[in-house]
Amino acid sequence: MESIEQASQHTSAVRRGLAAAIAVVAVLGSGCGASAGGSSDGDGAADDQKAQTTYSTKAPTGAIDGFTWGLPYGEPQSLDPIKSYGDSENTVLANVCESLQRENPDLSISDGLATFKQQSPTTLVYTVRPGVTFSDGKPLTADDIVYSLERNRDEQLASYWAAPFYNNVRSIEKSSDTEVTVRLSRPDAVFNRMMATAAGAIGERDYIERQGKSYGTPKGGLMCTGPYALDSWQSGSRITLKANDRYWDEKLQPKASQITFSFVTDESTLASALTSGQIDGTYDVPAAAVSQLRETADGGTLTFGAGTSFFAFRPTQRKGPLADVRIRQALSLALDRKAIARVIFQGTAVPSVTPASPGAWSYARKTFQEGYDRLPKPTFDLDQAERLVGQAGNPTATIRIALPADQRVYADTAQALQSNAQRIGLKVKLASLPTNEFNNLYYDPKARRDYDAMAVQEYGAGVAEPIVSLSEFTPLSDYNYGDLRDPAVTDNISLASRTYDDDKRAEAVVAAQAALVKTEGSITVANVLNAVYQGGKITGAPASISFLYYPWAARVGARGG
Amino acid sequence: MLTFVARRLAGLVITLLVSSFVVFGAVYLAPGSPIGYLTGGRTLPPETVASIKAQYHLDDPFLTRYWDWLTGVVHLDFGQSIAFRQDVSSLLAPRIETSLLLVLLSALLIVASGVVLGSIAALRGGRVDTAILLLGSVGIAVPSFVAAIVLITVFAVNLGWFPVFGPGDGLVDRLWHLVLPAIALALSSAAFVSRVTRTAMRAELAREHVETARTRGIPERLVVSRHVFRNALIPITTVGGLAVASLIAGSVVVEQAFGLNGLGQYLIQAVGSKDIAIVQAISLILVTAFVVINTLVDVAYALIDPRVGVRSGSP
Repeated sequence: MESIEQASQHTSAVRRGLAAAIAVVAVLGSGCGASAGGSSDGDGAADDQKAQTTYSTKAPTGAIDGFTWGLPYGEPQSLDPIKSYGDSENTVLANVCESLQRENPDLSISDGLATFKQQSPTTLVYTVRPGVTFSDGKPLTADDIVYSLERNRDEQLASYWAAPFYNNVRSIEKSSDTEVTVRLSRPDAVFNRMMATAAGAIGERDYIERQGKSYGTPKGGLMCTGPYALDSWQSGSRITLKANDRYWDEKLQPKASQITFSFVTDESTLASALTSGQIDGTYDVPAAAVSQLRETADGGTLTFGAGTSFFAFRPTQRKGPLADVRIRQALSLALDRKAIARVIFQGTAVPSVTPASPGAWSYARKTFQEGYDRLPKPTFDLDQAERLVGQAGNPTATIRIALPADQRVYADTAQALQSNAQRIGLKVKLASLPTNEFNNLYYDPKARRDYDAMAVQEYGAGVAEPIVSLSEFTPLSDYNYGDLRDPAVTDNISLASRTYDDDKRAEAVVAAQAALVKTEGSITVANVLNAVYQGGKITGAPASISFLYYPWAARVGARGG
Repeated sequence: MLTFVARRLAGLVITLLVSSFVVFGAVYLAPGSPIGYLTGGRTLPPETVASIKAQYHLDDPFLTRYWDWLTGVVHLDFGQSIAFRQDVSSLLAPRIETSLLLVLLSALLIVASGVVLGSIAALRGGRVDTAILLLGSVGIAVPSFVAAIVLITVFAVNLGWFPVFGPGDGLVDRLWHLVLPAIALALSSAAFVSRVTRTAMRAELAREHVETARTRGIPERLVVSRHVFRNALIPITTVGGLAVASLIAGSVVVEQAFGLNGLGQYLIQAVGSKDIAIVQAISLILVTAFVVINTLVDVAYALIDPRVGVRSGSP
């Protein structure tokens, strides 16, 4: 699942201008800098695997008054959980509102605000955790849970999480004062995992009803159970969170009394703010800033951890040259993934042919590893690519690829593809679209008809369940941009989503993955690692993509000696 | 004089009306719709989309919406922001403050440094003149975002004298945050103004009445201020007015680079998210500011040169 809100706040004009200046810095940096962290020249396999199983950073030595954190994708549009499906929103929300289940830093799931029991393949029972109160002191009840979950199913509210995650829910009922029963129309192995994201976030019913449409806005605020409460939100300026004295989890008490979130979207300004210490840390470190942040004067650290993101050129439903599997395979062979990962992504991404990132293996690890090892290795072979183009009849039609105009990684990677495509006899034209126009392509099939492929970076909802990413390549999902109908992928994903047994589910997922890679339904370039930068003052933030839903800020404290 | 000002004001109102129509209409001509933004790019059932459209009056006829908007604007009600679900006026207030301070500070820098340096160059001549010309060339050549990066790197990161980003709280803190942005913004305009000042002053210095004044024994100081400078003011005012007016648009880049959260940066954001009400409100504000500045410049002419405004109220 893509994080669309990511791109919605950038200014393409300024970016292009700054890109020129930063390009110089980045190229110089990559030339001079050592290859610390992430992959180095080609043989970084050991480093890559290590990053994909890195979940935490050095533990703090003590408490701290407060720290400032960056939101590189800009100000959240809303903090209402039903509208929080993007990096900025979730980075903040995770510390304020908790969900029925909890996604831990190692991406496993455990009980959160409720204990979970699978009563039958279609009945899930959630028992309210006793002793939990909202930050205003009112107790958490089954009513609050039912109300919060049902908001996702209310069409008037247009929750971003409704489809596909609530598709199989038949009813949500309060079965007793302390119990909520969710009945499904068919077995759904993904639902409980999604209850650990903002899709399962619980707020106080009375408060939400009182605030109405203002809930989650600077005016209405939030009322939840997390280690922090929303203190103030100055639109355009900053969001401040204050430690919640009433927080229930003894093992996760906040060490910082206050957190300030700043919305600096400009890559160069953010890098300067981090090195000068005006911002203490951030997730979503821009690739252009990586070389500057590897060695900062105040001892800040840049850590790469497990992520679920992938960068790919996704074919659309258009019946152009890309409809031929041989052309897709040829383009895949024309991608020098190692160089792209090293230079364009500055070591923050790992060459890959599959959208299912190893960071997403939170169960049946052995099965997934074997499946991954059986996949064809990312190969850069222009001769073979040229042969495939010949076999496909040397199509002369132009391949049009749409990309968001706002971030350099898209333009640079697409240009790399374009120049190599030319060498193998394929004409590729790039269409750099402003954010709003590009976002149109996600939900309007008519708009997609003009392009053969889209350059995307998606993160499978940030959960360690490869089904989420892979299902987008089947008719089961509304995000099947390529209108793919490969039974080998669809049937296996469908089966996997109904299979509760971890090993059996992993086997079905692996089979689907193999089929998808074989037909290049997604021309995947790399799996993007999760990067976190922490300045000399702080440490402790989780290194994995769990920051989207785990109260990560409660782990942050003073760096000490 | 009064009729002159009155006519200018009438012209201002007409200009604003026409501009408001163009601003309102232009947003509709642009491709894309706020729907994509409102749905966050997720696919929603058609009934939900229809209800969102009804909520924001997205399907009402154009003139109805224009009239609704115009009547609102006259009461300073610019409508509601689609993205933030808040009144546009409350969203714009803090940003107007920041942008206004930035433009004022830059204008001050431009006028002060431009006029002073230009005058010195004209009066002293020789090496000082060449040095200032050179400085001016560099100033004109450096784009504001490059200036921003250099200023941030040197003064904010390395020396730590100023903050890297943000508008600041409270008047003094704000001014401190705006020093570097104001310099970045003022650089090329100041250089330009200094050039024009120099040329205008030199032209005046060569005039006969200046020679006459000198031979009459009037102190050089008075010659310069009354005979040279005041006459050179017309072209200086023109250029100065244009430079300050151009700051309004030019501030976008600097606001973005310094994370100032001003009107320009917000406009770009709103355009990207098709937040129609915000785009229209900010566009109207910018047009108004531009027209007001030009009107002030016209009035300034009348004050500087008594001949203007007496002759049938033109230009």
